[in-house]
Amino acid sequence: MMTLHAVSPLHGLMIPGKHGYNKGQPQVSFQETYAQLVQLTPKRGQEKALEQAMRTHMGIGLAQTGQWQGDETEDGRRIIWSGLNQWMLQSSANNQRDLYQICLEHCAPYAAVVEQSHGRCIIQLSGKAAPEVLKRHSHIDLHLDSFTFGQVAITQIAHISVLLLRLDDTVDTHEPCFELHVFRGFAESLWEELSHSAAQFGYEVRQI
Amino acid sequence: MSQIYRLSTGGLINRNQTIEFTFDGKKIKGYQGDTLASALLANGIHLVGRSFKYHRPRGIFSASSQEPNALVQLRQNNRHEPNTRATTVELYSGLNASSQNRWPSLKHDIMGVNNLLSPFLGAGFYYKTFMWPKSFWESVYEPVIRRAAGLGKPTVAPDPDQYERLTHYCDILIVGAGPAGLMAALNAAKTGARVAIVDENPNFGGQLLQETTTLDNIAGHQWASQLHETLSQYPNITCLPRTTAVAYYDDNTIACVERANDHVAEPPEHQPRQRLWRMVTKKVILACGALERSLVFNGNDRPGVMLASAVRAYTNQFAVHLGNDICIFTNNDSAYQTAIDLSKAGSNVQAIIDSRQNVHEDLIQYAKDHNIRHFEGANISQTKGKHRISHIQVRTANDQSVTLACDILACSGGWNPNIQLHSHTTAIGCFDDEKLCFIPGDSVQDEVSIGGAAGVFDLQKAMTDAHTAAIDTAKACGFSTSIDNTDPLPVIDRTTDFAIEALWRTPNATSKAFVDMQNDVTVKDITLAVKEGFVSVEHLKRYTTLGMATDQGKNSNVNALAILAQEREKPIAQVGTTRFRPPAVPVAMGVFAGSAVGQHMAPIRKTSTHTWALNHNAVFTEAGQWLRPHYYARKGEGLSAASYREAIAVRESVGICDVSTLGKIDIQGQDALELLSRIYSNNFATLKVGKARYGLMLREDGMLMDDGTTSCLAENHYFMTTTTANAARIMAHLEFHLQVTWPELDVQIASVTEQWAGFAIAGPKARTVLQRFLSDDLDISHEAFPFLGAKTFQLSTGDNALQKIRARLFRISFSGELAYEIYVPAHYGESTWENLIAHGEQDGITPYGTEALSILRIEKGHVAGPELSGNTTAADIGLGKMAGDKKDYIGRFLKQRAALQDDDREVLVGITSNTDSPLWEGAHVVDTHAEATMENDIGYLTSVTWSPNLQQWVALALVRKGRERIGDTVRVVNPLLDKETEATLVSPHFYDPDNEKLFL
Repeated sequence: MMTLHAVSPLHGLMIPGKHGYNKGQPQVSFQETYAQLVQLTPKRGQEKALEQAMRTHMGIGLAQTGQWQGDETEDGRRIIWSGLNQWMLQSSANNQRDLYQICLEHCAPYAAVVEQSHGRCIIQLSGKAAPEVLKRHSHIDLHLDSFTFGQVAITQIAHISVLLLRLDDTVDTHEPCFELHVFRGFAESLWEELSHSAAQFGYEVRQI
Repeated sequence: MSQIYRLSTGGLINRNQTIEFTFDGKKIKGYQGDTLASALLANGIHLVGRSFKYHRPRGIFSASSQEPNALVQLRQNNRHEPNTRATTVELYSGLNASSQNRWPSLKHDIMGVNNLLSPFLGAGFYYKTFMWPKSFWESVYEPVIRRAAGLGKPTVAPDPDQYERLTHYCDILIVGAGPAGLMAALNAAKTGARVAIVDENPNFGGQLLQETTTLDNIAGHQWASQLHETLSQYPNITCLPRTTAVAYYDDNTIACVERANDHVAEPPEHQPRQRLWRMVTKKVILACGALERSLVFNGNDRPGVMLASAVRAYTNQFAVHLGNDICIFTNNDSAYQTAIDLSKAGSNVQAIIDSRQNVHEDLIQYAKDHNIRHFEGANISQTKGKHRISHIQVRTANDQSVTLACDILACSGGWNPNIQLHSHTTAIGCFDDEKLCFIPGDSVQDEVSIGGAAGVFDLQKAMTDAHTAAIDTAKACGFSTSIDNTDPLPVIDRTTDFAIEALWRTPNATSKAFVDMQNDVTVKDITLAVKEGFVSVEHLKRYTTLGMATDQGKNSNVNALAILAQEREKPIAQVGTTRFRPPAVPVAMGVFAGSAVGQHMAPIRKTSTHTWALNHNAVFTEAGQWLRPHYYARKGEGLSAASYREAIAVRESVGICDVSTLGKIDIQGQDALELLSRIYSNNFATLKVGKARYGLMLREDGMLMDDGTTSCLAENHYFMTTTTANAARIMAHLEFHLQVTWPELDVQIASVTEQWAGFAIAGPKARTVLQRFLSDDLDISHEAFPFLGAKTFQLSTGDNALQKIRARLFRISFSGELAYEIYVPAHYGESTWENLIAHGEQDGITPYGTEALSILRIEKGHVAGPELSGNTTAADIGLGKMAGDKKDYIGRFLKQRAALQDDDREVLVGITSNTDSPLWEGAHVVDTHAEATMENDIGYLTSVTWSPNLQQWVALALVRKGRERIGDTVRVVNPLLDKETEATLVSPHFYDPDNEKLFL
């Protein structure tokens, strides 16, 4: 009997190691991360109730427009503003607890709970030249003082819609770090564009 | 010997680094720091091109991007590049340049005969001459004229280089890094504002690089490089040399082109050749300087005739010894600096011809002291020389003619501020009667011009203005500074302001007095155009081609306007000026495309089974951005063989198709059913949990928009599918109506297209195979899971009895067979697909692509894109009962329009061929005995296929009164192939019209 297993659309495409310009240290690092994602859309007039239920049961509320919050919880749980009146709840993929079930349990009375874990791919990029790579595609102001830690933007990269998060700077080198959420079907095209633009700086693909 | 015309000292060139290059096949040497133009001049090469129309010999006229004459072709093979200005090309080792628009050689150009014909080739010559016979224009005249005229030839090979575009935000953008720009940049940077400064040259300094001016007793170029160094220390400033601001768009957005690797033979690996910077700024300081303009006199285009400022540049910056008999022709003071600089460099100026009667006595004294013949109130009536100027004829103030030997003639007709970018904003330049130039008018956007660009030619004053502009601009952006925080302004060693008197053309200037050298437009052309009534500047420009091509009138516009004004006897200000349009300098098309070339023009969307399909010889087709398997080719199979095999397999045993590309929308909320009821034209009120239903959606105007199924997964929870093509549109349609039309509805929608991979399993053995796969997870017997069943269930992964994934199953059919659609979380798509195929192997499960999908649905008579074309109503396609009047829904009202209710409309029928002939998609239908004309046209074929199952050609068609005419014989006409065949109108349901297969 064969088994069913999950395969990322980036499987075999992000080859670990250093690529592109090869003099000096790579200035950009890429890494695919896996997460559980649940989209939450409050029912009419239930936003406050939803927020309350989430705080009580999940230790996290709703984020302001253009913001995300979290990361402090044990399973790296985050709430990400993802559009008008909608949020994406994210937790680490290796967490054994089923985020969708938890949400159904606590949020279903107040919100539409929709699983999106397989609908998105997540790529993190960090390093000195990370904003340089992004500004070759996105038309928003990515200056480190403008697009700061905790902010999120819905923007486009090579005609592909992405959710862009500014994460905390890297722990060791204090370099800027971003996360991109993309529809899984576009993940390969997105990766081609990002890696192409990063080649001039030299980049490294890391594995979790 | 090489570089024999190089001065022994001086210049900003690196004499330790010799660079070898070729011009017209000849190997030549120059130094690092040279431009192609300066290196040619250092080797005594003055003749570098032939003119556009008359093929007159032309030399190097300027030392900047305004160059009208020295256009050359660079590089070879697929990097071959025409019409590049030699004055802007940085010399690099191995540079391969050649002259253009000449044959067989630069010195002996056959088309030079045009020069003799020039009396006949005046303004509008082609319009007037080649009018008859009319048909000859495209076939004969235009090709011949195009061959004779024109510039270089581009390569047709693909560009091997990369380009990129980027967006950069800043508070203040400073265009131009001359003294004023640098001073503004420093002061702006100190305030903490985000500043960017761009300059077209490889080194900052602008005019300071070409002039001998000192600032605080430091040579200008050194002052500039020190300041550049200082600026680089500020983290809040972006310095971009080799970058030209080419266009000023709305909202203070400026396009800048960075020639990142134009100065090398090939860009280093991974590096782009050029970058397009989209600068989004709060404020713009235009410090782009001024350009010297020429004088208009007979023979003013010969090689050796140069701008006075260019003579200074080649002498000071490039240490070129330009000539032995140098004369200066001017109408202003600024050209005297040329004599001073040449004298310092050890070259002698023979004569200064000044058109003014009253010249400042100091200047006259200077000429006297340096043994320079000085003519006041004089002009040049003619020049001589074949491939280079050899003599000039001076017309003195008392009308005497004096002939002087002259191998370089430095000309100055005054200075034009660079108001191009200012003009892009729709601002209009004003003519300054004292400075005799157009200066910036009222700003339309948040920009301010300083220095030469503002017509402030005195450097000391320009520095003060730069300082003030920087502080004011930074303040306006919310940054403040105290005055102590700024450095004192540098002290300039000279005053650079100048007196000028108009000389727009010499008194005898006519057919060889060039106003626009690039387009060979002479004084005579302008006077002729005016006589013929082309008195508006816009008409004059187009009739004479004045101000067009690579220099965009930088050399010619003001002189031309002034001559036009003289001819019309009006002040220049009243004649007006043409508006500059982007780009301000020529830009390579590649940089606009950036990296979006070839396959990267648009993103590609792939489903979870893409790799599997690739490994099984799928040939893909585009469905929107998705790539879908068109068919899975087995050895030796083409489209037909493969798709027929696949379609037969579905009818006879079982097939599997990836339908993940269908739009999928999750709909929840207590008013969800109400939303469905209003969106779909057919009844949804009775849809029960666990059931799917086919639905039609109309546009607001009553036409069909889309079809698909919606299933009820649980109370107030629905799962909608749309066609692949309309997925995004339907999502937007729902969003729009929820946000705008019915904000009171409590409905939450989410696109889940990417979350779920979907596979259709179709065919008489579909249940057998699927049940084998599902094992105990779900009972799908007909009783437990009847037609239009819909279920969410837990699917075992096989890993671990406890590990299950959420899945969905629907019993719906597009093919007309017993069929299911199974949906699993997309990351599990590939292994689910592989598992299904493994479980179906013993029954011959066959993956099928979109071609077989289409064959099957046409056989069944199901409509798709070609029938849902936006021109059809529900009634047209035979589904009128699904769009009734019992409830209200989008499109209900407007579908009642008379035209949509007309009995005469084209409606859906089937068509079968009565002969062996195929049918053709798009072919038209006429009655048997009617002539095949538009008047007799009664409809057309929308979808056509050879039916491998029915063994005949079948088609869906829209035919006028079609349903009433079933059984009629008609003709199907294909005027494109000039073919036709006899056919019969039949029911569109070719296969299993009673739907027995669906209920197996």
